[in-house]
Amino acid sequence: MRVSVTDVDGFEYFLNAETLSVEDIVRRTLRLDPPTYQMAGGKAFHALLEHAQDGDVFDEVGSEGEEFEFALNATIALPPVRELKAEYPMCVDGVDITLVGKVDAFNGWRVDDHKLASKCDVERYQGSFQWRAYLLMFGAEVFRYNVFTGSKLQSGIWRIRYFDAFEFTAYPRLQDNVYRSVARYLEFYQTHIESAAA
Amino acid sequence: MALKVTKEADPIEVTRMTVTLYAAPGLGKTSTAFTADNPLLLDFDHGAYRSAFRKDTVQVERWADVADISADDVSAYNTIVVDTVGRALDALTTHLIAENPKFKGYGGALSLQGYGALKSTFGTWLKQLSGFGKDIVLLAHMDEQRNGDDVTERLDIQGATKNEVHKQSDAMGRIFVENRQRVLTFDPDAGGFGKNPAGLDPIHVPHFASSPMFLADLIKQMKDTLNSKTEGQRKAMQELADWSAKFDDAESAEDFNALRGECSDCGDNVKRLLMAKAKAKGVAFDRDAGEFKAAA
Repeated sequence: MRVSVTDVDGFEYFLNAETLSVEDIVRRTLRLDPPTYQMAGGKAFHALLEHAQDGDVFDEVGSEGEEFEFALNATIALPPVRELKAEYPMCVDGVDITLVGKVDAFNGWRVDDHKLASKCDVERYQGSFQWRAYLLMFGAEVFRYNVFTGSKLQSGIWRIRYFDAFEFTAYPRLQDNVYRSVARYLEFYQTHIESAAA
Repeated sequence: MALKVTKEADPIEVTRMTVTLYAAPGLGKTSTAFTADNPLLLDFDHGAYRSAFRKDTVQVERWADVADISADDVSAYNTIVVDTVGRALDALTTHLIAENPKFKGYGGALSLQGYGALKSTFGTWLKQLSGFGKDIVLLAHMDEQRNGDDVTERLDIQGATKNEVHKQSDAMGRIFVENRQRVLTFDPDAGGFGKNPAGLDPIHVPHFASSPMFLADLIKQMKDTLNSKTEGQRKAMQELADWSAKFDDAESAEDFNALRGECSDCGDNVKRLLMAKAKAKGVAFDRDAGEFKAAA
């Protein structure tokens, strides 16, 4: 069974949102709802950083049909390797699982992930499955979230106001935590998704 | 106004650290901090007198007492302790509102603009302290967040300043009681936040009469561990960059097959990169044949 890091990460986030029903969690985990404008903005922003090179200076720039205006003064050091995929085999509760995912950037020991968010809350990232999974899958020591805070103006332009970089590090019980999260996802999947499909 | 993109620098030696410790009241945060290497404690909480292991302290009455702290002021010390971040922010809040009425919001709290000023002023002040080359120990009270049956112990620090504390902390530990013993863990488990760059196992907090350098030894251990990784990190960066350049030069399935043989002893990440670069050039890997083939 192939399980994506994004699915487990989303599932855990939605599970903690007390106002969501099981049906809501299934819909959101399986991404059955149409993409929002925030998702389109995030995708375009990722594409911008995927192709960014040493020496680039962005003030106003377009990417995938979206326009971005940087209302900040900041510098970002980006690893040269971008969009790297990984597969990680695991056996969880007797089920063979391949955990799959793709990181935004990687330098050999640190994974980078870019976020375009309307607000920046380190606690949202601290509890995330995403960084734990990628540290394990890539055998990396540090995971860095590059969080760009901004919003889409009525003019249609995304104005980026802040940039924060948060680092999380590998720790001894990392693997246990990743397996526990995947087991929880697997149980939910078998109970509410697989059975519904059958 | 712009975002500049730069190349990454090599990892450097860790000579100083910022360590955040948080716990419920009465678990010995201040006493733990006094076991750091030659500390000066900035006592915003006015509770240092309760510690039996008290060393040099500055009783901070108002933000102005520490706003312009200089390297000369702390030259005799190796560690600066902020006790606690929450109360330091209270002092800074009062200062900001007195300085600029626009920072005062409803009910005497900060306005939105005020919170922004709080975050940036405190962040700048922390960077200023770090610039003195000393270790910094940030103490914070613990706040419980309940979500159903789950309880998360988190830092009791207001607003976006929590982000700033996390950003500037190299390590973050939580003291709690387990089986009547105090335990310090740096692990970011479900029950609490943390940052454990040296991979330390949970530690029983000793009696400080017998371990007067408890935190000093821990911080040294963390620095030693981090510095022992620096060379490995440099090599990992260089290896990936070298292979990446070789893969960039490859064009055909034959080129990629040759490189696959060359990097057969490399780690998984180099092989993943090989696959990604081949795919980007339209060269597919045939799993059954075990080799790259030109796309049909």
